[in-house]
Amino acid sequence: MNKGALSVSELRYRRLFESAHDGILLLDPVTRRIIEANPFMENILGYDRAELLGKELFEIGLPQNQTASQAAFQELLANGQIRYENLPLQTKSGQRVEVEFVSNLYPEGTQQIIQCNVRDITVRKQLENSLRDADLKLSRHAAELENLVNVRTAELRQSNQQLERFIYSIAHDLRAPLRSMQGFAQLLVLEHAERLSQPGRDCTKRIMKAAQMMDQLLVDLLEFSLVSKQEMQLAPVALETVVQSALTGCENEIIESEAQIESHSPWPAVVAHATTLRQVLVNLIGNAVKFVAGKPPQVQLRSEERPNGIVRIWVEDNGIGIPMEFHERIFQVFQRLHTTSYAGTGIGLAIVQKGMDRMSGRVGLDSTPGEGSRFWIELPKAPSETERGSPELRVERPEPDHTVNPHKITHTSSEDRALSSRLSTLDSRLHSSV
Amino acid sequence: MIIDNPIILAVDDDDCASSLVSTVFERAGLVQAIQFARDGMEAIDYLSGTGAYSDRVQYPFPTIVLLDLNMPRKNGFEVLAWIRQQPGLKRLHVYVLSSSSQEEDIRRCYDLGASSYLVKPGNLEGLMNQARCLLAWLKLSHISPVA
Repeated sequence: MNKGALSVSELRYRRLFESAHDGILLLDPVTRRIIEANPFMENILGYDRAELLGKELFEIGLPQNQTASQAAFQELLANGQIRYENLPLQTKSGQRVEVEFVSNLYPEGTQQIIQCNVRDITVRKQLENSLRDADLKLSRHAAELENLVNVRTAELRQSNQQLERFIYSIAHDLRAPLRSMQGFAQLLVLEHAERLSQPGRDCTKRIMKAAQMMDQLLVDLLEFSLVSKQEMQLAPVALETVVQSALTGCENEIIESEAQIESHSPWPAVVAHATTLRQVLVNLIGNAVKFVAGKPPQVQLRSEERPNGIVRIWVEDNGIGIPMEFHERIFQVFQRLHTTSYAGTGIGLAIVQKGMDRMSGRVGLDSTPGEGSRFWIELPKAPSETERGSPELRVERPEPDHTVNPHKITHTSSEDRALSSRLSTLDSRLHSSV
Repeated sequence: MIIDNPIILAVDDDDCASSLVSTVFERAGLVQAIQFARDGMEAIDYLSGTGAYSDRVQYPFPTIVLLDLNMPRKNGFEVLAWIRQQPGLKRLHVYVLSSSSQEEDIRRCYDLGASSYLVKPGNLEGLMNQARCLLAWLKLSHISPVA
């Protein structure tokens, strides 16, 4: 390289050295003293070049003491490089800066030189710190928020429980005077019908009918609040037993509506709360036999095994059906689609929905207006007896009885029969006198 | 001793309900008019014969008590507990007649020493049936005089 080219190169690299935004120090590896420092190094530490030249690093606080400095030099000489990712320094005026400090040992002909590159990372560190602070604050806020949500949820749950208890008490207490009203109205008919005028008997009949309707409403409300507030421990439940028991529970409606009910096995065991599941089925069956126009209701009960260990129970009717737009609304309390033409309190399907919610199950329906509705509920299948192993968890399995029709339902005690015959006597007396 | 003509003390704060019970027991063949107490305090006064109730001709000591649960001043549970604490009333027949069919209430009453727990029927026929059964049952029962 000729002299001209060399001076161009010298100029070029000198410019880089002078303008670099990293501090650069050159050290003599023998004396460990600074032999060159760039302007940015002056910037970082606050010493001017004259002050830096001829000093050992520990004299400008880099590192803190002579022993540490010597140890660092030993390491540098042995490894050819030493690197500090995050080195706290003090400037001449006592300010704290943080730097990334890299020293390399380079051969220069027969000699060696140490080059230190010093990058001021104070701002980056500050940013990192404030980011960490912000992060910490954020997670603290998140925790506070979550806590708040938990507290609010607990409060809401409590007020919801209070409301449900309130519903129960109201429904319960309203029934007491109602029983008296019904009782005296019945006594009026039983013992004084002859002395009542035709309009008087008519009034009595209306009182009794209204009282009966109110009683049904209160009974349904009581059921709804019981399903809402009851402790619910889920356990394996034999569907066969529950379906049978639900059919027994609907006996009056089935007989009155002359419904044909077919219950198709197999009925696997499911994980549920037996009383609630029975209540859900009673309401679904009651619903199925209620909304039929001018023909005997036909109701099919069957189960279907779905993927992921789910059992779906179908309650299918030949009733009037439900238009698609009402499929969600019918599960809400007091939502009725029909006025006087069909009996109903508007609570039955809300009990179904509530019960399934409480058992972590699902409910839904397919329906074509005019052709009937197919309601379904879903529950997890109970593990089989061999999977469960423990004999205490064994599910009761009564003898299957596939078809149930009103004439085959037995289990009325003689008192019940006597009572219902007296009731019908009372009824006919009422009708004949009105 | 079998008592053919029991004296019934009905404890209920609902006058209408009491009147209905009275009518129904009369129709079911009860000879002696039912005695009434309108809350737990009155029931305790009646049973202990304090004040006007010391007149046992007008307020005869009952063979059985029909006890409602939900009442002002002293409720049925308190009356039941009080009765079982009285040495002279330990053997008194106390039939709880409540509209509550909650397990918790039923268990509590038996724990407190109720002789039986009856749920108020929802209609006249049920009430009639209950009165008839109860009277028939009392005719079969040997009752040991309490005092």
